[in-house]
Amino acid sequence: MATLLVVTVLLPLLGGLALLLAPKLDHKAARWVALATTLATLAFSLVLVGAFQVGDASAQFAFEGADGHAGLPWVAVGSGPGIRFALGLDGVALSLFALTSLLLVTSVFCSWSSITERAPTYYALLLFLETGLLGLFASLDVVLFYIFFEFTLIPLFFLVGLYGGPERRRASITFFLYTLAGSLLTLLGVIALIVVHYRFSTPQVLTFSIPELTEGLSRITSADWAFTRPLADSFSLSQFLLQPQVFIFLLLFAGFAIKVPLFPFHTWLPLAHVEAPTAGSVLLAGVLLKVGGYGFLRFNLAMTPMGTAVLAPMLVAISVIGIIYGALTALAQTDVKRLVAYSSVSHMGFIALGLFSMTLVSVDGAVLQMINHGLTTGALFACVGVLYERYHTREMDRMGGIWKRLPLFAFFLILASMGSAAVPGLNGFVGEFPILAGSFSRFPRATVVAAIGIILGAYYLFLMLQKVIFGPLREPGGEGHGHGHDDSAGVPPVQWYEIAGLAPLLALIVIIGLYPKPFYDRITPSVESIVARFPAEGAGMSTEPNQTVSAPGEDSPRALLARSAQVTAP
Amino acid sequence: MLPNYGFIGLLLLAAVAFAVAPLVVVALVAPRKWSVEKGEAYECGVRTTGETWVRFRIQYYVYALLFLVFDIETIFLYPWAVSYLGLAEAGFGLFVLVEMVVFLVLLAVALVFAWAAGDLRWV
Amino acid sequence: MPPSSPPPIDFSQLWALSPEILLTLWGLVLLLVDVGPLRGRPGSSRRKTVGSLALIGPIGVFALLLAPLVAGPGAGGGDPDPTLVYGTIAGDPLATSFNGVIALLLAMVIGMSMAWDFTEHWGAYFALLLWAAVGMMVLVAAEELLILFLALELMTICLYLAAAFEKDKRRSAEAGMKYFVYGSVASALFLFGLSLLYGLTGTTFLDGIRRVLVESAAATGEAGGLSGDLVGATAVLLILVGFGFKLAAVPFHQWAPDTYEGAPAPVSAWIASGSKLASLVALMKVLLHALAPWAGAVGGEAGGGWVLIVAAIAAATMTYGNLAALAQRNLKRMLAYSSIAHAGYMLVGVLAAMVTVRSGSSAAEAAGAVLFYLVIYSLTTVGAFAAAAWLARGLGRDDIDDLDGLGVRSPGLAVCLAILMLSLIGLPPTAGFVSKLAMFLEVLNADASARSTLLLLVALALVNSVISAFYYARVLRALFLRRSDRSPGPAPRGVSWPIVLAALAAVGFGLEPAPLVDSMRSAASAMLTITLPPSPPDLPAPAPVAAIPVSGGMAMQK
Repeated sequence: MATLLVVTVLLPLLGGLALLLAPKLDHKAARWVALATTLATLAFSLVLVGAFQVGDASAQFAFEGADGHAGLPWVAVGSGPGIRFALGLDGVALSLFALTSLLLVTSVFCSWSSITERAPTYYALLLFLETGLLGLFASLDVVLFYIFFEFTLIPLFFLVGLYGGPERRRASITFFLYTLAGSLLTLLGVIALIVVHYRFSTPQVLTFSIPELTEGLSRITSADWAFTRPLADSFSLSQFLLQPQVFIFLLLFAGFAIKVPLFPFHTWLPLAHVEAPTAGSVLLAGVLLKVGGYGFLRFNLAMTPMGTAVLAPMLVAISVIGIIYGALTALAQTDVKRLVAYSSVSHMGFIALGLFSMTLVSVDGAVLQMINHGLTTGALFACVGVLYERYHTREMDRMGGIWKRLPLFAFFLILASMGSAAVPGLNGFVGEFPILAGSFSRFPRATVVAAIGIILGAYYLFLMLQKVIFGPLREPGGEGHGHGHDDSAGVPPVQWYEIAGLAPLLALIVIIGLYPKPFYDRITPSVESIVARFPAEGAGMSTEPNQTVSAPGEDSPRALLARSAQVTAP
Repeated sequence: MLPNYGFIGLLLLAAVAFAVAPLVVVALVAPRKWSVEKGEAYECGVRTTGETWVRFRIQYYVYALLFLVFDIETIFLYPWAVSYLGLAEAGFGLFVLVEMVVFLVLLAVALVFAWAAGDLRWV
Repeated sequence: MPPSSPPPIDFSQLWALSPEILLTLWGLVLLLVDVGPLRGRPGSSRRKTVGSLALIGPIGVFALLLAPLVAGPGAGGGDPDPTLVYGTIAGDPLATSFNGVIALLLAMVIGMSMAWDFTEHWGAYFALLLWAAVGMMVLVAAEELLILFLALELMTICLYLAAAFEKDKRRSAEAGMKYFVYGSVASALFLFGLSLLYGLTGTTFLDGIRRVLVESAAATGEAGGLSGDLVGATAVLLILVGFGFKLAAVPFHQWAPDTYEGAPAPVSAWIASGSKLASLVALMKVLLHALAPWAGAVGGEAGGGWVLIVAAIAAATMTYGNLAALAQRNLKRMLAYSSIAHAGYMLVGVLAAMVTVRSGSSAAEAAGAVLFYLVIYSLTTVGAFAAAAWLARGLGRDDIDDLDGLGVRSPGLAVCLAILMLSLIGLPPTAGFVSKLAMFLEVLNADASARSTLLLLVALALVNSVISAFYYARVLRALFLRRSDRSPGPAPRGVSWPIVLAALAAVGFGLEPAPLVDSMRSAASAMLTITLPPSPPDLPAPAPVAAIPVSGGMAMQK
């Protein structure tokens, strides 16, 4: 299985290289190669999902090296285990891993007819991006993680810059520099974590392994590291900020917050989303934003829990501002793609709220919501792509009653929107409800405000549906562009590849909404092992972590809600 | 205390005034007459003819450089010859000889290069 | 003559100096071939012939370096004293490995030079490149101040001339002139610093200086540092002026942008890579080895030393270089500022190495990380300058905008150039990232007492990396996101292979840095542990130095 994981991560890279190096392929041959590669990757990752041991919190499918550390030695650093090529999946990573390989298939289908020029390069970039993302989620080594993290920038830069809309150059450069700026601070934070671990651990081990760092940092009892004073008890702001956990938290936070993006750092997102090709938007919203959430969970929450705890009120405030701000801005949009982009800001705010509330239930919900958001927003962007290919506009005011022209598409869009608006019975609900329920126990007022965001979310999504789907038929193409005499000739029905791209996402939207237990079963143990290291509420000094190993089988959200009191309450 | 520094201050002021006063007086009083001769580079009364920047032929420089080659050679050869016996006694004889041969060969190559490049011809 | 006559010269030691000797002789041959057999042939044909002949020089160096490996393990190893010629030159792994690196860079520079006709005097031009390489090799190996100074001068005088070689262009003459004027003043100050150092310690050997300083520090009971020692501080400052000029560190950087922009692209590449590489190694030798007792503490308990000065220079250099690079439109000028910025990063690494040398732990790792960074930087920057050579050949100018549309016309080379830019930013998975990571990791890991200062410097360096992304991204944008109807045409072979080679190195050492890191570590440990055997004529009296009539620089000692 360990070999299969490596193969799965590297397969798209090989496919991409083959596309680049092969003699001139036309776009038809190229898309079939890309589809075959992504389907094979998806099949492999489904095998991994099947082989995953439910209930085990630790990373699975990892190579056991000869010296007792996971992975193969790569760069020796000092006498320690060094930087290693270590891959493995725990529950959280597995979910995002599978989501990535699924969305890649969708994005190949999204590009099926729209990309005809320089198609081999395009699909190669998509496949490189897939390797970057899969590797990122599967990395058990911080340096490897960071390498994949930065590597995703490069294909996306070219995808947006070469195949995007009219403003693509500005969008790609903005996206590139904005993300890079944050991620270099994250690198500093990561290096600082490694050094802190090296300084304080006994015996001193210079390790780069994520699980070892998480474990080792939580064992450090030195007050320099473990004791973190809340802002209210600090003499000055600088004294508060210079505490190691707070400082490192903020360094790590810089890169991930830009990726997510949290409220003041979101300005690159609408531009990049609107200018990116459809597949780029699907991946950007579906997976790239999750990288930020995943980073929060893996690094900020797991490695600097005290820093998170003392900063939590501010972070929750930012998240809630993002929820409301994103929703209100989405409400003001006339461009469907911009609307969906701003809805991402709002929904990612929910995820951040769930993470920074630091209760088992909310974090659990946030992780599931990451999957949900990937599915629903991916589907929404794919729908927007379907629309744009037919009418070459995304202005809602210029269209209406599409239901009559494309009934199947209307069904897809309505289902995806309802999933996104957290209608009960669909996936958004089972993700957002635990977030709100968990957060309420810690930050009741913020949660109440955030709940308004759900109402606003339903409002702007249904407003969009009302304009686009319902009402009298109005099609942009017919307004004076010549072929008004026969509208239906210019608008082909929904094609098989569009159905193939969207159907799995919509099916999952319904399945997760109706029966989330298998997903929670896989996520919860991993989340639990992170939550177990959180400080008890209000305590300044972290106590010795008590490992609670969850028993499999009783992890429905309701059961978790009941049990969260044991883990998190004082 | 303060009066002592005050004297120094006064002295400074007086010194500055002493320097500035003639300039001011000259600027106010002196007549001004401009003539071509005053603007010349040489103020010995004779008008210059032609450009001030006279260019010498490039060959002069080449010859100067080549002269330097032999000049340096001699300068270095002389102390070498004087101390050669002592060095030979100390066991450095062969080494020092080889060093000097290397030095002379380098200079010879330089001369050959200049010759072959045509720098010895007076065009 | 001293009563105990020194041991006779061991001519077999010349074998270790064979790369230098080969390149010197080969330069003479090129000089004569150009004016002899090839006389009267048109310039472009002589360019190709002499250039191809010049490539034999670095190839021969490789052959000489590989010969001991082929001959068997017993040929070169196991010598307890790695120094040659009375301890003035080291024949250690540092010298060997950097001879290889310098030869590689030289080959790339020669390749670029063959791209277009910017001069008539090809024999002299290639000979100067070769002799500059000799200067660099000796500089890397120098273990004594006079040899070090002579090598420095050999290197820079060749480069002064080469910078002014494109005689049709005023900017080239300006480049050579500015480089020469700044360089000669810096050399004079540097020499004055060296003579002060000699006056204070009575020896010119690096290891000898170290011993004297350690002894005097032990005698006075002070923990080191320079507080109160006015002459010593002056000497250190003057030496830093000299090295600062060679590295183009702020505030001695003003020559760099004009020189890099005006000089022909291969010469700029040679100044940016080889000259910087050799000077930084020499700087590390002098500072980390000889002047280590004067380092002083970063934390501040034992008074000032050169560490604080270097820290200030490093911070100013990287910040200024990156900010100034933002405003540049010319590719070579942009690369000049980028090379200034990289000098700043490397000085941070030198600081970390110093701190670890003093605390005694993992010194070789820290210094090795700097050397690794240095090698990677040199390779990538030469590749980047090759792009400028390509533009200069095709369009006669080298602005960043002239790269427009190359991503479509020559996708392969454009991808390679993009990799080089990413490596210069320090993005994974390129070697630029690994080298930055390794160096900054060592910095942070250095010493608890110095951590706050070093952490500040590393944070500044990372912020600077972010700034640097803006101007490197401009190259990426020109390559891939813009269209243009002007094209420099297909790249000649001399331009394409350095770019491809540099890109391969950037990716290869990014994915598998271990071999290079290991060899750089062993080079660094050789550099830091080199000690003269106690008996040779170096200590304590300066007289025996004068007894060796080898060096032409003896006149200054009277």
